[in-house]
Amino acid sequence: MKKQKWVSVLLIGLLLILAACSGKNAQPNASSETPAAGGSSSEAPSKEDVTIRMAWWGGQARHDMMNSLLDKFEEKYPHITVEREFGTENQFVEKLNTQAAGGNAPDVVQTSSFFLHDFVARNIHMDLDPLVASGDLNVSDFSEADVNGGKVDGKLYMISFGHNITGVIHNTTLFEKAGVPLPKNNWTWDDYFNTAQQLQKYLGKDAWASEDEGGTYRGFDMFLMQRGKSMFNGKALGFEKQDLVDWFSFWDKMRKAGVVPPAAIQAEQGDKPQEQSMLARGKVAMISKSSNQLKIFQKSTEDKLSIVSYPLNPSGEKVFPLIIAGAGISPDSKHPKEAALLLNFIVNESDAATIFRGEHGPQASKKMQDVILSNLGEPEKIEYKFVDDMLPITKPYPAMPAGSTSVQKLVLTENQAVAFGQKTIEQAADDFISQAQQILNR
Amino acid sequence: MALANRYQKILLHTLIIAGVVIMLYPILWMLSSSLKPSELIFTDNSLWPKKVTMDHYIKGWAGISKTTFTTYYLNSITLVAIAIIGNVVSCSLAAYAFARLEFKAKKLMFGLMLMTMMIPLHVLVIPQYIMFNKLDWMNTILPIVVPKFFATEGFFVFLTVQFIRSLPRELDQAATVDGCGPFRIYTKVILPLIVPAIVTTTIFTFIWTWNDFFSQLLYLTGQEKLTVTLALRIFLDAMGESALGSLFAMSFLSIVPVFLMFMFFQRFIVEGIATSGIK
Amino acid sequence: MLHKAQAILYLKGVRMMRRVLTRRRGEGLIPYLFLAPWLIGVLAFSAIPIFTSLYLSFTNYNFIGTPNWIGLRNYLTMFTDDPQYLQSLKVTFMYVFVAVPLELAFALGLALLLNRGIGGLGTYRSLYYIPSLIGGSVAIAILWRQVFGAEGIVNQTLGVFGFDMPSWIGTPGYAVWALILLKVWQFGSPMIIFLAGLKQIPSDFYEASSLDGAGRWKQFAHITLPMLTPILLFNAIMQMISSFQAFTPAYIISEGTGGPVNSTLFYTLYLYQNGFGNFQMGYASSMAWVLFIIIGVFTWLAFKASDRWVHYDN
Repeated sequence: MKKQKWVSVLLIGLLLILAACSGKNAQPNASSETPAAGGSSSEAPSKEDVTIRMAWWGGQARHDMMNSLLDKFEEKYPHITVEREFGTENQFVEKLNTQAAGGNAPDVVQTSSFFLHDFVARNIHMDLDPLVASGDLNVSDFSEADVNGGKVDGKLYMISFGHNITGVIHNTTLFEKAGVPLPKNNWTWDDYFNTAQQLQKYLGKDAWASEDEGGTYRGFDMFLMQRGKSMFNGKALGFEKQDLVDWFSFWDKMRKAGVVPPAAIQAEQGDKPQEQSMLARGKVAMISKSSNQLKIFQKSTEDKLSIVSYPLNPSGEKVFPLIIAGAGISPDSKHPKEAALLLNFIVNESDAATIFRGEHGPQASKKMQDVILSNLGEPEKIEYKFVDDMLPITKPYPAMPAGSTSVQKLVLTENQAVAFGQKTIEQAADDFISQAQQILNR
Repeated sequence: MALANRYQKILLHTLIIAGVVIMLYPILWMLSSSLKPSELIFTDNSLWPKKVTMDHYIKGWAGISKTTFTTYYLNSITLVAIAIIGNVVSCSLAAYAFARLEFKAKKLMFGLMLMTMMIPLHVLVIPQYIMFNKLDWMNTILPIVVPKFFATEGFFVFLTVQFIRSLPRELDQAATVDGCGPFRIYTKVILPLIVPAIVTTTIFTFIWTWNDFFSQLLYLTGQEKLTVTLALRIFLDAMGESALGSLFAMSFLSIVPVFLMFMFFQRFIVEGIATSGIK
Repeated sequence: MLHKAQAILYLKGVRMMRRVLTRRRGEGLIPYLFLAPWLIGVLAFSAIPIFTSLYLSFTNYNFIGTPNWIGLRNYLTMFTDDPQYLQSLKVTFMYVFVAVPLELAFALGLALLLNRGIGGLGTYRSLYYIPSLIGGSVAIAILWRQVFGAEGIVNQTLGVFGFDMPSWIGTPGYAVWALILLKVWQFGSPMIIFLAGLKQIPSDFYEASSLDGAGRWKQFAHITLPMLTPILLFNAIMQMISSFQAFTPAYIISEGTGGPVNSTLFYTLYLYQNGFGNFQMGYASSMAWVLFIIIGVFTWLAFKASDRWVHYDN
């Protein structure tokens, strides 16, 4: 008993010390940090020097672009310094979650349709409507799809940097060698299957028409959307068991026809980097990916690549989810005006557009698209055309509840269980539903 | 007899070398890939590159926009050096108390020390982060190095305890008789005898701190603060464009300082002063 | 011999002196001075986070708002309604109890081999240590998939001998073995600790036994092994603790999905998926505390059993 008392006294004492330290430190640091960080600040004495933090994810190419873009911004607004935090997507999410829980989220945070609802729920993004109303943010040149895609419950939270649509990236060189006609937008699931079979005759044993995508939740989500449903409905599942059975069955048919790699080969792929992907190595002819990935895959292969819409259900809804990459502002930000200035710079100024070159897909503002259109490369031209063609039949990405990450992973796991012959399709679908519900209700 | 011995020796060396080759195959593959042009990395499977290029090293070293690997190396080395000092001093002090001194609740405290190692780090991260944020230690190396001065890595305390416990007790008893107090025994008797443990602590602190990705990720955010380990991960992103060649090149280079450090220090383990110290 | 007799004599005196000394006020504080850094460290950096996580384990904390107390629900869900959790337990136990003994045997064998007076040993030791230097870096992930992939060097080599193997990375049942081999491959840290332990054994022990005419095996069985037992215990416990918490290896094979078909779903990986993927920090915290108890029990058992085989000089 005595010991416990001592421990708690010590703990409380410690907490007090911590609190006292942080209280003392906060003030001198707040005032000393800003001038130290803003190197070129002395040149612009008229405005108060401000430091804002921006976080994003991506690969090295994107980091280089973002950095030179932010340099340009600092050049133009010498009183603002932008501290940069960047890494891969996993690192970004890991870090941001911790920062947000610790009340230390960056002022400007990259986001996308996949994160938006979650970030809003966890108070990482603020409502941007007041900033739009005050003129700090200008979205008047934006396409309607980009504005709508940035909204949650009717309020704007994300400023679009660009949009893209999941399509089937395919190796046209292989198609030509095989003498198979190239697929066209709005093709059907049957077309997809038949094309795969024709390709397979040429490809033989060591290459496949497509990857086994029965485990990709994005594909399943699109499949559901064509049936007027979606993966989640609030905190519950938004589809019935039969939908999942149909989905697994389609891919089972593909496996049995030998047009996708066997289970073990497919399982080995995971999220391999582009250079190592089967598409880049000519081992498969088609995979479904976001349209802005086309240019990246193209860099890793000599063969010519192109993109076409994801297969459709001829009797179902003709609709695709629009994926937007953008950024939001943290409600904890002490400098929302400066953060808005930065976002405005990225999406509305030609200097920024020239540097960023549609990294996240075609920009929200047509004006900015026109700035770079003339010097786009061949893959980007294909990408822009595809996205423009499909844009009219898109709708915003459906919301995802907490726990969705694990449910998405379940699609992969259960599809693998079927592919390895560990479960029947019925069993896999049953297990999926019960486990998904358990995860969502936890 | 001598001849047989010689054959035995040759056989032994052959075996050891064969083992080395098998063990090092993946590393050699990485080295060879780092020298191949990008398009050949996964198509040319031979260990001997058909075409050799230094591009990946040049591009890789250039790092990310303004900062190069020179900065990352300096950051990593600073971090590691401070961590080593912290661990060596604080862990050997605590270990001496656990191994040789008598005090109340010793067993309980020793158990407590082991227990702090048994909780998965991931659930402690957020409270720790909040704490360090309150202390205003963000974007500094303090959250990583300061705890090292307080023997928070139980591994090294336990390691040193085990080493001290295997030393003959007569030694410190003799020293006590000669009038040495616990502090003199610690510095004059124990420390010289546990050099292998100290060197082991140094080596492991070096490697683990160097490679400790998670805490570096959380606490070091600014570009000028990046370490080698953090920078390496930035080369690879599944969603964006990755740079495998540079990744391999820089990963290979990142082993070099750790390897040199190891080459240098392992002698101290091997020559073990302990062998001659005990009479 | 003389030294020993003297020491024993002194010893008696010392014990008496110590009794006198500790009775004086203040003397009892000395151990705490040595322990002070550690004590402060535990209180400042570990205690608060540890108790926070214990508290969270009884809540449904999800990073939003305040945690709600839900009693033992997380703990019950785990064992009654979460097949993935039970799978993660299975994978982890298998990993710990296969990989750790293999790794230790390998490390001890090589430490003994590399501790002998052959030329070039320093170089060999360093070369064998290289794999352990890279830790869990990203490059390792790519390398390992290359080595154990369907057409990797391992399968190519086995193919020469007529074995037709599937992809180690992509096949449930094989994948975890690729990770066990990875652990064995990175056997450097226990090897170094064994080496350091071997060097700690006073050479006069060997000299004395050589005079007695003991052979190499006898020396190993009667001197080396007993003298090494504290280090063996240390290595076994530390490797066990770290293997129970194995996290990065799973990233190497499956980018953190735990696939194929959850066959590499390690305990901490699943914990992480729940905590940072699903934001179910309450659930993740209760998983952490169950793991804590599991590790604690095994460590306690190891210590209990060690009374029988670990030799301390006192």
